[in-house]
Amino acid sequence: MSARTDLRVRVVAATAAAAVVIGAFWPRRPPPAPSAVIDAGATMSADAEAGAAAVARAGDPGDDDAGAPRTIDVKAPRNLRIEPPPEVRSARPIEADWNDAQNVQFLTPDEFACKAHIVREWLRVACTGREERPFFTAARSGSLVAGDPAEVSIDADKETSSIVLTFPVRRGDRRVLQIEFQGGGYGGSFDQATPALTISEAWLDGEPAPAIVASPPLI
Amino acid sequence: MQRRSFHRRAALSAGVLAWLTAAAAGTGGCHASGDPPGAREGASSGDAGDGAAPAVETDPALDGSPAADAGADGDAGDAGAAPVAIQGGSIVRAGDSLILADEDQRVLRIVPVPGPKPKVVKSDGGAKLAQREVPLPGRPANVAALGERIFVTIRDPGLLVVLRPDEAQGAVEVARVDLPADAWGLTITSDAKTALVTSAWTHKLTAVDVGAARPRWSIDLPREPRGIAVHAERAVAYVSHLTSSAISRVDAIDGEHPSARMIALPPSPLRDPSASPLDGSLGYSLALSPDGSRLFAPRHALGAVGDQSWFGASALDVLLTAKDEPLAPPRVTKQVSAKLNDDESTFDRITTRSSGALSIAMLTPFVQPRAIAYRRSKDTLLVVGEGSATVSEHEALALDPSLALRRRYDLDCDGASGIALSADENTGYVYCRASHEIAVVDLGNGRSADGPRRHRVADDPLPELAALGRRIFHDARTPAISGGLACAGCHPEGRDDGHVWREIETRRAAFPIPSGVEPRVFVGGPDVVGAQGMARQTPMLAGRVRAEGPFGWHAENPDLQSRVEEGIHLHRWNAAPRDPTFTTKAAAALAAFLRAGLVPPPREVRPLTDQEERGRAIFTSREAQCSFCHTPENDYTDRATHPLRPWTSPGFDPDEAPFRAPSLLFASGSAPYYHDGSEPSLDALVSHNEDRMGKTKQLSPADKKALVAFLRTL
Repeated sequence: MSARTDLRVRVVAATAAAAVVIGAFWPRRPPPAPSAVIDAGATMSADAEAGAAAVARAGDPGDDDAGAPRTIDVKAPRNLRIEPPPEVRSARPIEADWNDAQNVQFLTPDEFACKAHIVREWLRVACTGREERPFFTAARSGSLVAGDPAEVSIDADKETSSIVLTFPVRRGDRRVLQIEFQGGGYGGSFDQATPALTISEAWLDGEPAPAIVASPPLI
Repeated sequence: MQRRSFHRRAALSAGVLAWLTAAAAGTGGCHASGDPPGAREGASSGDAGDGAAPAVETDPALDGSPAADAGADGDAGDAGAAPVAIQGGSIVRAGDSLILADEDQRVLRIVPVPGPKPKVVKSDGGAKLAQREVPLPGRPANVAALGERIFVTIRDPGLLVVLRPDEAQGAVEVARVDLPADAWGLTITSDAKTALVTSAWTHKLTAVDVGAARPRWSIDLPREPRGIAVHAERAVAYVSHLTSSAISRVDAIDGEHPSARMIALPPSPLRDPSASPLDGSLGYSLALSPDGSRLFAPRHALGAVGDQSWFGASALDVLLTAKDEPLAPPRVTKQVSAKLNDDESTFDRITTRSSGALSIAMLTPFVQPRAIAYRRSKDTLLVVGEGSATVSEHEALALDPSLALRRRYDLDCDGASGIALSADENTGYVYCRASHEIAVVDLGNGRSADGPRRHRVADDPLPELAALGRRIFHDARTPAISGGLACAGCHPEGRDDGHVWREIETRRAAFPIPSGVEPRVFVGGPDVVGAQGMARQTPMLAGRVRAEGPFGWHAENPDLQSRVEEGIHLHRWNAAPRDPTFTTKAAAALAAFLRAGLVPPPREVRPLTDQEERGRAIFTSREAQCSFCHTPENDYTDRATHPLRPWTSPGFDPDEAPFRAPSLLFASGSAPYYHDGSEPSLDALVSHNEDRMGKTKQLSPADKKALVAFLRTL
């Protein structure tokens, strides 16, 4: 008898801090400001008050947002509980199956326009790449970063202008996928400064349920 | 049984807490900071110079006390959870007090836990927090609180000092245990019977019988062991290292005959562009999940690709303890991907070997990880970033938690080194060693939180310029100086990361480098920019920078300040600051700190053995010629350049200019050797030297051993 446990989809919040990653390329989201800004001409040697903070900020051109230490934006994570996937291998769902699939809300739709659905043990994540999306929230590519590629499909659906990841969630899995968005450099979170949604899926032997952690872009 | 144990822990904690709170708040005859006569007068631990350890006796209060802690703080814990080891740190909480190990001023500081809305205290003044200051017999590294006892590791001399509360003096020493020098990491097992201590420079792990206050065993480990995590059920200790990614596993820690072996844990495999595992560094800390199934290792992945890949990437790697295997799978080699736009002119799938423009922006989730705490109430990990001055919170369940960033808190202090949590885990207290502050972080409860608040706890004992240099040395937030990784990122504590970096000419990169990048820069690995670069093994600085000059691999810099200034240019990837004198000013402060603030490793003072004497005679002989260039009266270097005989460094660009003879001080602890790290040990270096440096080809095996023995004493 297969274990019937909840599938947890943990959502990891994006942070404004990550804006720094791409700040150099995209001025709309400046890097988080240091708490003190001293002109580059500030005297360093005798100014203990300014301290390293002064020196540290002095040569950083363009920072003009002095202020108190800050906490980076927080978006409460959601732990969603849905029907757990059966531990019986099933065939890849056909398109009609997805039409009736259970919705798994895991990202803020108005930010990233991503949707997820589950059919039996199969999970599908789709993010739209429509050009009307704000920069950095329009998907443009998807890739498998690590783990078994068997039965993983990554499709560019040009009809709906979406990147679609489909993969089974089974005991023994350890897999990382990403959907890359427009903007920044290239290569996704695991390479350079491209913002990317990363999905970490692991179902370890001895653990009652898989852990799926979706991390929105660090922007 | 577990629940009863938990309640007893809480009761013991409350007793300590009452004392600490009263003491630190100035009640009961206690004293504010800056004038703690009670703490200074007659404290047995305070007579640092006398060297006389008090009589060691079995202390009933130490014997068999159950764990009083759960993780980094003093009394947090949830009933029903398995007891966990007590993790030492540079800051711990014991009830309503915080205890800080102030390494720079050789004292413990006992501070009342700041209130929920503390006043922001600027570093230039204002009253320091009321506190008790307890002198110690040496520089403390980490502290742990257990029942009515405080345990402190002392670096030089190597000691574990045990103190008890004392109303008049703050705390008094009740036991002192001799340990291998440079005692650093500290963990007390969940049964409270054993304290485990790493000795960094002397690379040991020692078990101390807490009840008897004596060492039970000591075992040799690879270089720079630091963090300790104990798996109670298996009687296993895991130890991290500052200079490698591998983890030491020590079995049978509850017995008399432990055994050690290395466990491979490649850093950041998802960001590894190569087929072989990356180097890792900065393994200061470890944490276990409450059930012991996952071991979390924050460190630095050298050569990884990422947001600022010149220096690599921050890593938070997970070891599955059931089989001691990495949780994250290796990166795929065969691309499985799809893209919406087939126009290669607008979408060029970039491989890691020809990656796109390097970001010069500043972000990784954390930089220079120093400490980690498992937040059980949220199943998250809190990582203290020294260089980024942050606490970042990560999902513990992710395959690579460094990518699963949940929240990040900017501390705006310098040299963040440790974290303690409140009992409800909703507040973090971070010790910022370089700015001598405590930052209070409202971790909230899944909601927006106020920004951190800082409290000054001490003045910097260094002269003003050197104190400024100390803060710069640890700060990675300034593109104009650090380029995302501070000096301490490669020279932790002024020592070295054991890594061979690459100095490349940016014009030789495999793709166009953005304008404004320095013409010569460092990278952590060849795949970062598709160029090999010249080999640059990180040199140790502490104790080796007294000379006027010259400095540099080829003696190209006449003095230390000019070398530091050139180093600033080499270690960043961005345009020069607006003020052209900025770098010079920073270099002056850094040079002052390197000389006045870095503490050389401990050195055993004793007569040479016969073998070492034999080695010294060989070293100074006209036949071997070692001392011709490594002159003993000048820190074992003539500071001149000497051509190396035909030399190849596979995997690196040739560097044929003559090299400056390096100082041999502290050579025993700075492997690997040569600029390309091609010799892993002094034995190997001497064995393979032939007549490459001086003339050692003629030496017998016994003489070579003697020479190595002498080199180890320097």
